[in-house]
Amino acid sequence: MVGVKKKMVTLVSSDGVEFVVEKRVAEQSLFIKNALNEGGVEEKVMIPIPKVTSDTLSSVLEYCEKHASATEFQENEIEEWDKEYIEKADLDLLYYLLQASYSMSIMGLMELGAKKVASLIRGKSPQEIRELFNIKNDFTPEQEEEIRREMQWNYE
Amino acid sequence: MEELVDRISNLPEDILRDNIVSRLPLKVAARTSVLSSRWRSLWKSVPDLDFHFQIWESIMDCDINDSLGLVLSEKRREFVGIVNRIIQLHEGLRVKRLRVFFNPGSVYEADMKKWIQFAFDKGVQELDLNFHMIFREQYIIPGYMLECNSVTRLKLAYCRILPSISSFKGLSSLKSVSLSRVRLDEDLINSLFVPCSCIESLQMVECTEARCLRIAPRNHSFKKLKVSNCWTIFHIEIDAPHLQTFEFCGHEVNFQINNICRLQDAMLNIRGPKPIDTSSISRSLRMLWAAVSRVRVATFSCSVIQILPPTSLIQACRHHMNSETLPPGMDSSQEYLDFPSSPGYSPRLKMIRFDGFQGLNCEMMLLSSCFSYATALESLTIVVPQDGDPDEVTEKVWKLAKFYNRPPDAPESSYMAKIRPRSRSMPQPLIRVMSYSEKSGATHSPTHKDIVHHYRSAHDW
Repeated sequence: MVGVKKKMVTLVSSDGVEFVVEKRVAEQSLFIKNALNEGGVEEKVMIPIPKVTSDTLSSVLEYCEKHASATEFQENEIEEWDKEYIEKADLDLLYYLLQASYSMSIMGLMELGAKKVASLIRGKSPQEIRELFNIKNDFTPEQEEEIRREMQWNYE
Repeated sequence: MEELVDRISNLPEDILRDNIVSRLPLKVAARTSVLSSRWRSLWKSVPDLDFHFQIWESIMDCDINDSLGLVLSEKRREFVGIVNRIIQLHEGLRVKRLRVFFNPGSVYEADMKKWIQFAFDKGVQELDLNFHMIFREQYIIPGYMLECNSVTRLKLAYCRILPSISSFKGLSSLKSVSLSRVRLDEDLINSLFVPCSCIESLQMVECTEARCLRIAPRNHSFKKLKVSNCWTIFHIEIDAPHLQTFEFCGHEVNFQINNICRLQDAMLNIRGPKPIDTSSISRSLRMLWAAVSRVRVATFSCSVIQILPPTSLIQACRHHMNSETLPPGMDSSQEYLDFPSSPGYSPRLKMIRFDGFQGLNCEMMLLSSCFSYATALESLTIVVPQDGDPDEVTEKVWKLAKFYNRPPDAPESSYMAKIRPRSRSMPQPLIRVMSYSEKSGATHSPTHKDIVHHYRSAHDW
């Protein structure tokens, strides 16, 4: 690769879409960083990202792009940006972002998503939480009774 | 009907338990066990046990007709009941953090011991104990609480450590210590915490009893020292060649600083009652200032310097200038110029922040030396106090900044002529003047250009 040119890598989503991004952006993901280190940068510029679809990957890369270019003097701005970024993700995307951040090892994104989910759980009744996330109540009546007894201290 | 996909339960345990359920207050987390069998036991192995405000807030207020003492004892009983229940149900193999906000007194001593032992047995790394409680006597830390070799971060608040504890060595992994409103003497600090081989950081806020603080760690990891409002301390000695961060807030103390060649950022916030002996204050301030600056000249890899010159610094500065009130013309003595030039040539100084900046002459002198000597300055933040005049300060700062971008043959006043002007090739720092109320707001941060523009239109320059 020519010296003055930015080093680029190609990421391939699970549905076969190629994303060409700067190496420093892709390296926000520890998974990719390690993959690049192992394979040697020059040869291995095509990296498959299993289980992450193109829609999710494009959103993940938006996050990586912002965080790769942020400097230490922009902390407030980044915080604002993060807030807006995660706010506009719907529940499906949020779920896929969490999966992707986990498999790609992007700790910042994982925490951001987890915080958002935790905030959605807070202040809701179990039934409301179930409805929001489509959680199926698979307890038998006996089990429910047992849990109720175990949780008595928590409802007094 | 179409089967809807569960959008949360299939997440890996690392996310669901350690990042989502762990993030919830314990009582809320416990309630997730009713959601489905996948969630049934998740909360029981969260690594973070936080018995803090949320537990207290969840305990309903009793009848207001009861006496306060009765209400409190009832609330305490409930608190202990909840914590005991959670501890009993917890199935996790490890506990990362234990946080307890409770003064057990003698009544619940056995319960407290049980909770702490539980966390110790599960290799707790962070121990955060706050014993604040109204109507309670200062809690004296029993020895067993400081006897856990897995603890890396220790936070204690509102308690007393007796000298008899000093002999034991139970904190071999300790990296960070934070003491807030803890009563302990100086020997304890040096026998209990400073010798720990991994210690990186020591913070003391409003601690009492210790009078002299001598920090001379032998290990290479000691990087951060913060002393804030410890009113009994009158002497601080530092010999820490690996120290990177030093923050001091409080009244004037006698500083003796021997070796701080790796210091990267320093915050000095000296305030308090009016000094009685101005010469000694001036001396100790000058010594600290000189120590910081001397090092900065030599091997200082300085990224952030927060210098906070409050009233006492100005007083010391005035004293140093042999004048109670500075004449507006600033026809200064030699000594007068000596003070602000002390920071020396700082090619690595990148960020300066002045809090409580009123635009007084001595402050302007300090600023002048920053403009002139900090050749790599990238950011300058000036926070004007509530009773200050931000417009006036902005104008003064702008004039000064303007001066330093001018050829040296056209000085605006005599005192400025004595300061070496910046060369025109130096980068212009980003200058922010903020009033106190807007301290946190990132929105109000005029750049140098903004200031120039503002005054060009307002004053028809």
